[in-house]
Amino acid sequence: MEHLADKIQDYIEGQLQGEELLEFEQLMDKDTDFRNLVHLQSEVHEIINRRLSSNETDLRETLFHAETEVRFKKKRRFFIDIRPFLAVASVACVLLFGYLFFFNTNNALYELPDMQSEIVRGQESNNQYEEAVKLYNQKSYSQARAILNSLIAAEPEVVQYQYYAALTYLGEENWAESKEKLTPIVEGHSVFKDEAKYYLAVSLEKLGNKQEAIALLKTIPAQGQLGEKAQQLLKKLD
Amino acid sequence: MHIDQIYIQYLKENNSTGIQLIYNKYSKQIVTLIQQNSGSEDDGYDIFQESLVDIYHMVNKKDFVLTTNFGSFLSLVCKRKWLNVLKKYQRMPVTNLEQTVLYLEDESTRDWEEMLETVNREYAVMSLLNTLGESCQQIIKRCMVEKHQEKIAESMGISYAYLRKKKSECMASLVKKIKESGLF
Repeated sequence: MEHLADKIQDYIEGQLQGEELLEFEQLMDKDTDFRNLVHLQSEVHEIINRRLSSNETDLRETLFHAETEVRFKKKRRFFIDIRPFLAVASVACVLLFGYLFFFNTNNALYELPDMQSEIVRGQESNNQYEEAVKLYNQKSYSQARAILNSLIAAEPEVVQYQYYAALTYLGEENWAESKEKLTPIVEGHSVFKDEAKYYLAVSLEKLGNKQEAIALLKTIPAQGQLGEKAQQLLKKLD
Repeated sequence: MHIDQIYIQYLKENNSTGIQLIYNKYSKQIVTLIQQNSGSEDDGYDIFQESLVDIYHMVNKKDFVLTTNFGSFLSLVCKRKWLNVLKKYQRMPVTNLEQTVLYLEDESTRDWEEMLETVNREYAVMSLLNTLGESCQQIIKRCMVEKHQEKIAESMGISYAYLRKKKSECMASLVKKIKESGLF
């Protein structure tokens, strides 16, 4: 079931064909849990699709303006009232971060992410990229980088190769080089932009440029694991 | 069809004048209701806004015919939503509110209940989606809205295979969160 679980999204999008599709449907017939999982993911897919296709964002903007109009007439007393509460909340935040700082090891903040494979489990692949994944995840950074550099030469527009190649320098604690390689990714618009910011901040800190690292960390959105990590590192550096 | 169907139309068409009218006419009574049931003024306006968004999604999903006045309907949606918040955060008991919300007047109210359940679940799914990391959110949202995934991969600076793999992982982690939330 495990390798087929990877293919649920492909099935929902009608990308499975032939033997793969048959095998998938047979498993759905046999395994109730698997079938329920497929149905759930399918429902979630449909919900997201419907919500994103709606004009909710425009509606929210209109609602926001209408609310502002109604509340604007009211005295601003409310904001004065919550000031003491905000002060208490700020102190609570400081204490919380302090707690996180003292009771969590900082090692996780400097660990490199695993390099992401492109293949779906159960399928064979012997391409260069997968070899680089294997070497990188084994911490054989220079060998991984050699393969990644050849991939970069062949497809310079794929930032994914550049990003992991830059991280190999971090793995070797070559901060100057990782800074140089991560900077163009941070300045670009790829999906790796925020992750690159984080690791560039790590490189900057190691190079002694603490203020630059702090400024960079502050630009990382707060959501998700990366956001949490950035906040923790920020607290450590502040 | 009730004469107040026009308010439904205002929401459906995102009519700013009509929506301002809804706020002028109904927001105060809803905010007061929330304040009388353990909420703040901010909570009141949040619930009011989110309820209007819920109604918008309800009416977009299927032909929605209002059989009572808009104020009563909106009030039911808001009470229901606030009750869910109170239950979630286990704030003080609100027996009266609970009684009025759970009291089903007629068949149409029962239909609304079902529609509201659906809309609430959809809202929760979208909220959980927004708790994923930035790249996961971006991948899922873009892949849903834009149809040419090769182009998405290219613009994100990743290979098409990587995009598909990553999307599967992101969807799996979202579904895991949804399962853990006990929503479905």
